[in-house]
Amino acid sequence: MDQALTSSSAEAANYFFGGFFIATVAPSTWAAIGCGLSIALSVVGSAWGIWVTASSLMGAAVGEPRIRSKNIISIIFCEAVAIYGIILAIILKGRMEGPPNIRDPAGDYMAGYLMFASGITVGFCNVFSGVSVGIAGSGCALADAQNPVLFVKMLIIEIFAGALGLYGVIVGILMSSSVTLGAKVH
Amino acid sequence: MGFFSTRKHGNDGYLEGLLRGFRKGILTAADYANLRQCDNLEDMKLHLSQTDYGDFLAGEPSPLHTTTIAEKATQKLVNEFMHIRNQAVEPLATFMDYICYGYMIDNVVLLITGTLHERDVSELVDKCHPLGMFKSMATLSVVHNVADLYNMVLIDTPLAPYVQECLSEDDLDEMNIEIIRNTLYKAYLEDFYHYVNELGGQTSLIMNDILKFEADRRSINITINSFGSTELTKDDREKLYPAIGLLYPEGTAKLSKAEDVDTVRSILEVYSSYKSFFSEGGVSAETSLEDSFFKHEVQLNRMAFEDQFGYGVFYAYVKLREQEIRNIVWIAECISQNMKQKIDQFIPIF
Amino acid sequence: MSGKNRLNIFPTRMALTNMKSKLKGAITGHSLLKKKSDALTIRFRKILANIVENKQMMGATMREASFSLAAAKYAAGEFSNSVIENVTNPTIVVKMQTENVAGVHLPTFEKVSESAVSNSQELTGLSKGGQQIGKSRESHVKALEALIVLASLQTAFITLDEVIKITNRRVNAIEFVVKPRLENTINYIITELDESEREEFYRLKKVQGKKKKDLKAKEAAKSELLLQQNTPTVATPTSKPAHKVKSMIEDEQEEELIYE
Repeated sequence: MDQALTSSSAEAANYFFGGFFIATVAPSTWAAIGCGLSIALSVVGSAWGIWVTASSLMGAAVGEPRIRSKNIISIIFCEAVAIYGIILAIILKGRMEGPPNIRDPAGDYMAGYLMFASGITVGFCNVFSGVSVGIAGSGCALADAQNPVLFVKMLIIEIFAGALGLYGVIVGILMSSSVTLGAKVH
Repeated sequence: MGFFSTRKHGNDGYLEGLLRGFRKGILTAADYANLRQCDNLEDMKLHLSQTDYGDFLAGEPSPLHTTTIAEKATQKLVNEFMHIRNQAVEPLATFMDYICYGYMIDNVVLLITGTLHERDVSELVDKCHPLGMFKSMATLSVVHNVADLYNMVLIDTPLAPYVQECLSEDDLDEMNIEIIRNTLYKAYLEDFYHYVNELGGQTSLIMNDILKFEADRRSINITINSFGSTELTKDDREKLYPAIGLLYPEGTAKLSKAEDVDTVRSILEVYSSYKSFFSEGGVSAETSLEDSFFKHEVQLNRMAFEDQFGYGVFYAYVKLREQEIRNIVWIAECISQNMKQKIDQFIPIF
Repeated sequence: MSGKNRLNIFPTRMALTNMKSKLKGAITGHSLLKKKSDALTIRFRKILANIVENKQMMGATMREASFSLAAAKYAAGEFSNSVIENVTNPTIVVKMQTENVAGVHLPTFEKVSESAVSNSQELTGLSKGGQQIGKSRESHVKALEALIVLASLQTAFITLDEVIKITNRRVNAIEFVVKPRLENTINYIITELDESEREEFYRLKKVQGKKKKDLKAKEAAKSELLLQQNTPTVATPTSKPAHKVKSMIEDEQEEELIYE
């Protein structure tokens, strides 16, 4: 394998882009990466959102201290995004039931790819959902400080932004629900 | 937009929130209605103490003067500004410094004037605008002539690039002080414009509009105010027009040849955003031209607050507060001079 | 009235003539001063009316000026520092001239050099508020003109007031002090002269009587002597009456002292 990589670039290209590389990676690796990405990316989104919201919230709360407890809700929405990631990661983990079935690897390949895809789906959905909740939350904090009436309205927008992550979770669960990786030892 | 600009927001979001907190203190229509009812300055003080201004006039000796009010209000603005400036990190810090440069130009010009007329320069420092203070002001006490000022003070200020670019040491002696001021300001505006465009994102979106308008306003004002002047030839006048803005380059080229207000109006007819300024005022009322400029500026600055994740709000806040101080002083003047019929000529902000 | 209010003078005809000419002078002076005072008063009234009018106008222009300054500051920001630091030559200079009214020099102020606007100030507020600054400048020049007019009126008012007071005092002094005193003196001299004339007359009568008596006696003696021989008469009585007159004056003076 090493030799193939160095001996000819054409061969290397074929190895990577011809999909041979993908096939050589074990399905359980794909499943594990998917599981990890789902939580990691969700946390990135969630943290980003909290970062954006909290900095605005802090500043706005200097002038208008009353907003601080109310606007914790925005933080919680961001937090929820990370929770989606955790949920999916746990579900994916639940689908990894045992070592790969070597005699009939087709089901395992299917499971590995689907788990990877659902991890990525949920992860990226949650990154963007988290950021958008964060931006909306920061707007919510600022708007609430100016005019308390706006709080509920902004909160609805935030819920919509939070729902985006949920869509990802739904799709992710659906993708991974039909498969299991490996089989319990019969 | 916003996705990557939120990255900066982590640093500046706190300050933006803080600033919007300050913005909430800008007087509302109800406050103005209250102020208008006042019979004397003491009443005004009382009303202002119920607003965000609080007891900024506390401890002032009883016969209040309008200049005291202006001074104290400006001091309040400066305190707020410095509070934010001191916490700012790059690039917001530089942006806020840019805001100061405009005031610094005024101060430098004042210092140049003072030195030219052999006044005691260290005394002049007290008269400078507090937003435009710079570090090398401390060395002012050793300055005795213009050459000293140029070589020891101006070179150390952040304005040095503008000074070097536009003026030589001899120019300080010979040129009219207002021309120096406007030359510096032109260089400053252009530099600021390029800086906000480097920053990009929401900042450049908002600030472009504001700075372009500022540039156009200067061009138009310089044109109108130099009619009949012997000191400023048309060629010189063209050199003072900032090379940014909606009018540049075609409009400014036409403006440089204008001879009277009517010509200016016909030039501006083409520009939809400025067309209304003249038609509102009519031929005689140049005052209302100035007023419509102010109105438009307030409008632009107010729009900056409709936006998030940009630095426009920091600039807009300073400008809006300045306008508010002008409004308060105007109302105070009207009250103290018994000219209540003209009290409504200020420009409400929110 | 009688005793003190006259000049302490020796009542002679010479003095009388002097007094009379003095009185005449006083009367002429009085009428002249009276005329002057009238002329000044007329002028004074005129100035007074002018001042009232000007002061009212002044209030209006000053208010306008300071308001236009406020408007300029609204538009251009704080520009006074740069204006103050830019000052080189005075744009407006006031010159004092004098006007002669009935011999009184009244100072009047006049605005002389008005070199429009000095070059260094011309471009103030170039970038913003130039118009308002220009307007403010105009209205301040107007106010300054009103101020100059008012200043010359006011100084004239004060000077005239002083002069009128002095003139009136003089008129009154002549009318109520100098003239009565002179008149009293003249009356006194006349009475004294009459008195001394009467005395003289009486004395002459006496002398005449004595002389007649003596003559009679002499004639009687002559007639007697005709009978015997002629005898000469005495020449001494001439010195006697002079002596007597002098003593009489002294008496008079003593009487005066008693009155006092």
